[in-house]
Amino acid sequence: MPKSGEQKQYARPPITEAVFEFRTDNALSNRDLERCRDRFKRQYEKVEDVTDVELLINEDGKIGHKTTASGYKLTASNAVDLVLLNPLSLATIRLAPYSRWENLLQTAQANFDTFVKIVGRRNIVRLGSRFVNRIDIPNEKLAGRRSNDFLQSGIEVSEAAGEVSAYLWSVHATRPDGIEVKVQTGTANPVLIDHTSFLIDIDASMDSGIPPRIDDMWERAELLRVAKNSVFESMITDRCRELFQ
Amino acid sequence: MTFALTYAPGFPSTASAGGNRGANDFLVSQWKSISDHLPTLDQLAKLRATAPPGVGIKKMVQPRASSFEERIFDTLVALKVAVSQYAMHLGGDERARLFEELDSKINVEDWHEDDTLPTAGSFIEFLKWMIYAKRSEWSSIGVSSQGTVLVAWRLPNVLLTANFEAKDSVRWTAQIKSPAGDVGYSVGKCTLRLFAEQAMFYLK
Repeated sequence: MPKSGEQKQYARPPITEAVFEFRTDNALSNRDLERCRDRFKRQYEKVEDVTDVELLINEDGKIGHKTTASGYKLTASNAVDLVLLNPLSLATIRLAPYSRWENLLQTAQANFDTFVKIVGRRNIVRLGSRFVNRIDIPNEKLAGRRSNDFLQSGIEVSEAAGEVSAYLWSVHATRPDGIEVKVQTGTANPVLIDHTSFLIDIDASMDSGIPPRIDDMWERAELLRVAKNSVFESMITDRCRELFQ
Repeated sequence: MTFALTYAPGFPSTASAGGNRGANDFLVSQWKSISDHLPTLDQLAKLRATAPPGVGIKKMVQPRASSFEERIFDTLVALKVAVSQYAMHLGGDERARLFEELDSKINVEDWHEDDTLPTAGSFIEFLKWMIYAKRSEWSSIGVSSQGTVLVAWRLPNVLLTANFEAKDSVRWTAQIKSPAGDVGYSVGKCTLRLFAEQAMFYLK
């Protein structure tokens, strides 16, 4: 197993989505949001509206809902590079195939520079990096084994409940280096025939100690990389690594 | 329809193109329009029976009202995004070949405004089949008038076509020519698994 935080390169990484996001303390006006959208549209041509749908469930059981426009999702013509633009945040996203952290960060830095050119320098209050991994295990390799032979984490359920066919858990933790980690993992809808898919969704973030100097800020973002790598590598077994090496 | 609620958002998450996922709700390519996500009366009734009082928030992504050119572009991107969800099971060359074929087929010049554009769901069925059958030697990809994906395999003596018409359902035709020039035809409808066996017979 790689050492904690070590960057491991896989031939076919199971990452379906890699995100780097920064958040500001001052919401963009609608006008600024539209200006950002129009500028990013040059690189990310497909524009979709993102809407929050809020469901209100009252004590008497009555349910109402209201919708609020909250930002834009823009997708590049290569279909794997995206940005999510919201009044308080800008997320740079790479879908599979994922290459390297350096490439993701380089794109995030370019997007940050563009953002600053349009709306000016903002105070960054949160940096986050989210990696969604989908592990597709052939059923023939799972036969006679437990999911724990591939994943270091799971759930234990009393035998009285029967055989577990699906699970999902979420945990929030703070690492010694101050990085907040939120992990969601569980079974997922199988996307391949005769495979069982597991989701490992790792969200590493920091909302304090973010240096005001830009260079220092990017340097500190490396902690997110260490955190997400450590968590991922600690959650899988060598048998699992063989699937995407 | 997938509809997930967050009753107590708790710790804020980093944004994701897939939103806050549940176990059955994480594929970008499975995202649907906002109208698909709004609960039906039946679903609201079930929710009423089980949900505690509170607030649930779900992020929805909705295509902008767009021109014909934009709809063509959006469709092309949606199909490529579908490919990305299988990228770890496809070689770089195969992915490039698929993109090239999609670029050549989904364009403003070859489509009319009234045409039904291809659906990502049908294309995903083809991708699933291709990875399962380990057969990437398709000759061409097309689109039916219903928007389902058509695939053809051409060998010197065989023409095999498949219409990935629905989830786990393929309609196929085969034309086979003997060395003496006799021609035989077959048609069928089956699951993806069985179509892999049929294809193995014709494309051996």
